Amino acid sequence: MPIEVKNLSFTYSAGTPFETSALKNISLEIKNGEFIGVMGHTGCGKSTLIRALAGLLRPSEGSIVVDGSDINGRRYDRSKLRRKLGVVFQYPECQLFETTVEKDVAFGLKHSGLNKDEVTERVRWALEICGFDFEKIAKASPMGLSGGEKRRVAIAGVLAVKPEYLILDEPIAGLDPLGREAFLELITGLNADGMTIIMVSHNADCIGEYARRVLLLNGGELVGDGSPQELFSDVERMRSLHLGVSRSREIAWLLKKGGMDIPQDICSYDRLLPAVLAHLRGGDEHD
Amino acid sequence: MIKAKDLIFSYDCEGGRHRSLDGACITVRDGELVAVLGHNGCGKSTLVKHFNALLEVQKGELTVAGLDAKSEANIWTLRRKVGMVFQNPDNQFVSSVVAEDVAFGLENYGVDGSEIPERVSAALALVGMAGFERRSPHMLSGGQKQRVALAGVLAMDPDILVFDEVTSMLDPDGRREVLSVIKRLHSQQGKTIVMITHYVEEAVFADRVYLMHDGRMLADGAPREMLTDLELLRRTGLTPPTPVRMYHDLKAAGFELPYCPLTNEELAEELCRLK
Repeated sequence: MPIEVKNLSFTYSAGTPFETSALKNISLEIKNGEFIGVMGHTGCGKSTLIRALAGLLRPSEGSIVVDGSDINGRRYDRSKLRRKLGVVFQYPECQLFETTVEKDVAFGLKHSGLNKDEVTERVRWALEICGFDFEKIAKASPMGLSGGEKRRVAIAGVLAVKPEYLILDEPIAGLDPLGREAFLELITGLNADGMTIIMVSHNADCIGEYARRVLLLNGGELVGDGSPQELFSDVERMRSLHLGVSRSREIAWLLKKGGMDIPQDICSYDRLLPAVLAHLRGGDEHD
Repeated sequence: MIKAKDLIFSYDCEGGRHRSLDGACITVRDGELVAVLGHNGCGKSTLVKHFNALLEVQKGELTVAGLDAKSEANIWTLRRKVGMVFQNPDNQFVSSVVAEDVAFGLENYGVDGSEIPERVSAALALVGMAGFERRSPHMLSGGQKQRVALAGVLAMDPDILVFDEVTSMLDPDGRREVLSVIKRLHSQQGKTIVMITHYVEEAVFADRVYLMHDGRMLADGAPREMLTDLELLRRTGLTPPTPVRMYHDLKAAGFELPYCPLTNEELAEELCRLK
């Protein structure tokens, strides 16, 4: 069942001089199994949208329906939402607090009704999927790990609950290139297994290469909803929204400006390279 | 000038001691902009924290601006000579007013009160934040916050500036703003700059690049030399910039560009010429 957002608006400090409208009349539907990237300039309402989806903010207007129930409905059991929908906030390593990695990852399972062995199995699964050797890491202190490891432990804690929807806020900021790649591969794998991914990122490369649908937010409004190919095709517009496009897209755009006839819906390197090669080979034939 | 020789630094951690620096050597000449690249945990932050004595030299030699960093008597002078800006701007603010925040260091060093407002304004102007004196740092964008943090350091007029992944939390606009300030401080103010990053693209405009791995330097040289060497980047645990990757992929397919481009613009220009 999907997530349906209908006419969602949110105003901070309503009725005071600091009144700010953070989300304005947003409607969208998220289908199961999608990989969605959310982009927008600082202050565009991305984080507010995430908090609203996670049921952490009650919308000023509109509704959010998850699997058929309004999550802000009077009778709605929020604990159901918590199990369905996992959120990895910015700098998730700051959320670690337990004395061992195993305890930290198991925390979300406390009231899940699983018995002790099942919990251990689940923790093992979550840590292994995040690239850890369970035996080696289980008893270590989460505070002694490197930044990238901490982040993966924090994510394991969210995954342990086996959410159907995973929301990630800037998950790759501060990771090095290989760390970024490994992390995105992990998310892609989870998505392939059916998990719905909603990922907020400034990084146009990671959105262009991995997401299949992009939501663009600007000043609290949804100003774009489509594939990266569609949305990145208008480089000038993306720039006017203070957003970048993926490097591969930028190269395709520069090539076109330089007079090379290259498709303008290229966002990822695995399409850019063949297109350039085809062009170069084609050019040879004409000579 | 910074000259480090065979620095070794280890700390206690789970399961024994971890050696974070393992014979690191680096030389940064006056007025030079040096980028240090390496993956998470390679020791780059540990290395630069020695430059203003945030970390004590355990083993090896380190001279910064002519001062021996091992001598305790030099600590406070070093802190003045070397200004450091970190990754997360939110962790660096001490005041809720921009001007007061920038003045913090000056006040602590007992700079004459009548001099302070002028130095604060001058520092803010240097980072393109003139006019923001009375604003709250928490209401600024990431790029603006980071520039205010930088102004706080510049107010002390240090000779050497160290930037530890200062753009990694910023959006594309913020990143552009901060990078252009760094370039300007280098070219117009003649500051000596050490910039840590793992964005290979940010190292393109450095005078020299150090590639760091497992606590020591793998290589150093001109950006064009360092960043186009696939094997070297791989060993450092970095991914090549897209133009470099494409240059090598095209070469493997039988199309050789006259030189290996570092920026998207260079790549596009060469490809369009080839056609």
